[in-house]
Amino acid sequence: MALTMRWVHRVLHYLLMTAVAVVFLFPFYWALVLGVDKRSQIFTLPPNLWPSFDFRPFLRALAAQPWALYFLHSVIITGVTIALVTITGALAGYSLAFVRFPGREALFALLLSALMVPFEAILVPDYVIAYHLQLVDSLAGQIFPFSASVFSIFLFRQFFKSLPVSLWDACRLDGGTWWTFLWRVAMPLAKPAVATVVLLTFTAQWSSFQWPLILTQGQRARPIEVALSYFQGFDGTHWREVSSAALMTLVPIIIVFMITQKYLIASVSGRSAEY
Amino acid sequence: MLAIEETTRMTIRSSGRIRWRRLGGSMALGYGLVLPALVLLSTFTYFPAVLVALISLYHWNLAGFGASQWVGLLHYEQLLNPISGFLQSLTVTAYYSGVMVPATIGFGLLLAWLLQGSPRRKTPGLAFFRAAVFLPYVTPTIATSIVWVFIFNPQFGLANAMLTALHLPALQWLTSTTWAMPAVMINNLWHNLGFSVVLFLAGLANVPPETMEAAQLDGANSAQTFWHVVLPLLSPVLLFVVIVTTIQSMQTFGPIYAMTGGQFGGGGGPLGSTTTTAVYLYKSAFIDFHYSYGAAVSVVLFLIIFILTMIQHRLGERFTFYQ
Repeated sequence: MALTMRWVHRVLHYLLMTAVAVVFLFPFYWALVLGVDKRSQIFTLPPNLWPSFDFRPFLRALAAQPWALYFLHSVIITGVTIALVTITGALAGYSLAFVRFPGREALFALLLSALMVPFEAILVPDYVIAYHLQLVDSLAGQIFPFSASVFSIFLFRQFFKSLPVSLWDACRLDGGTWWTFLWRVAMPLAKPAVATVVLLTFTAQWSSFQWPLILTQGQRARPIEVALSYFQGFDGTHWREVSSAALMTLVPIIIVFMITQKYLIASVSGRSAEY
Repeated sequence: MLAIEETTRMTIRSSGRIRWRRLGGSMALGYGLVLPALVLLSTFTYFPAVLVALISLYHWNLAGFGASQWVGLLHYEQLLNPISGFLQSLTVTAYYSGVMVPATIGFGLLLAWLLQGSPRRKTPGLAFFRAAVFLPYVTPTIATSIVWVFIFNPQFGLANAMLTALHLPALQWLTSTTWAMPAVMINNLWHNLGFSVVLFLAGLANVPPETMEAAQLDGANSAQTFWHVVLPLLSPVLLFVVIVTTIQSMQTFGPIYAMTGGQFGGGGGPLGSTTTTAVYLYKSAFIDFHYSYGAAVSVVLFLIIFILTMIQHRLGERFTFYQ
């Protein structure tokens, strides 16, 4: 009897979890159905959950915009930002963890205070600064404002602080300088920190929308999310083409997610532990 | 204990001194390595945080201070005038955040409880179910919001198909002053919930199974165990999620723009029904190109977020239980 109860409980648990997974995955599937279903009416009862494939709207959407160019912009913006956030974070983190100099703790406190400034509140002055630095409508203008992250600095500092001093002694005995130590010893050991910074910067930059929307004007530096938004506004009534375009921008990130989800989830849950 | 601590401290101090001498301990190296980050943060965070307040006191011209005209607190007076729509945007934001924060906590805890698995027995496939809930959080909001726009389409959307199937009246959703906001909330809850679930799961994993078993041995049912044992142990995570969700909800822009933007001139919803303060800021500064007015909105938004976070911290300290 107790055994049956336990089985009922387990089956119920799986049913509930499946229901939740269906709810959370459904919109992605629906993008596919809307994009490639050949029937012109989507409002039927019951709704057509299985598409009868017709890829012409998808091809029309593909031909309508220079998506490859926008995609390339997004790749460059995200890639360079990731590199810079890692470099600036590792250098500053190294300094704050290993180098002794007057004013170090005050400097660290100053850096942490940047966390109090919500980005939404500095959109206007950032635009003014970007205008005066001639960064409007450029890729650089979408990279530099996000190239130093307090979180990255903090994470590298914590990680380097956990390394034993004997490592540095050993390195110095072999005639190493601070640079050899950082590059050959500390950074290879800091792979978990690097992975966290890379993944969190990737998701933030790839999804970035409001700042590029404000900063870009034409095709010159437009990233894929902004291009998608314009495509939606321009062609909102053609749901199959718009859904196809949305699907196209979703597939790469879903693939990245499937490969990295274990580390990504660990990064996000680790992030709270740092606070 | 004290002796050990003191020895450790001395070791740290002396090893620090050794490190200092051996590393050259130079100011140049220390500051030099922080410099790239410091320059970037100064340019795009510290300086703007000061500049935004100054811009709000001028009639700003992009050419700079020389071309701008000092107007004092004029823009702040305009903010208080009900005709400007700013006060309405505060009400809309309060409505949005007031629903999103408790909903995120409630549903987040529920899903984390469902997906936590048992420490004693493996639950096959658990990683898949967790990943499914987390996936929306990492996908770009514009792409996913587009799907929700079609789901909420009044003529051929799935939401109305479901309502009709349940013999409920169909709704106008995104073109309705009443239902546009709930539609945006559903989208955003779906998108962001995975973040809190992951944090709650990490928190639950830290609850020692012995503690829960002890409570159950003492005759507590699972609801009592959750309420009196698990929740207090989760309170630090809970506080963190409340603060982060509040800050996030006050800055939400992409989904509101994508779902209720286009046809309403970049703004939020019919009659401003989804125009939160963040959206209002965008409209003022970058649709109407009234930078200094937008700056005044920014200053108020900044203060509100700052004060709310402080209050939550204070209250949190009183109710948070640290292990």
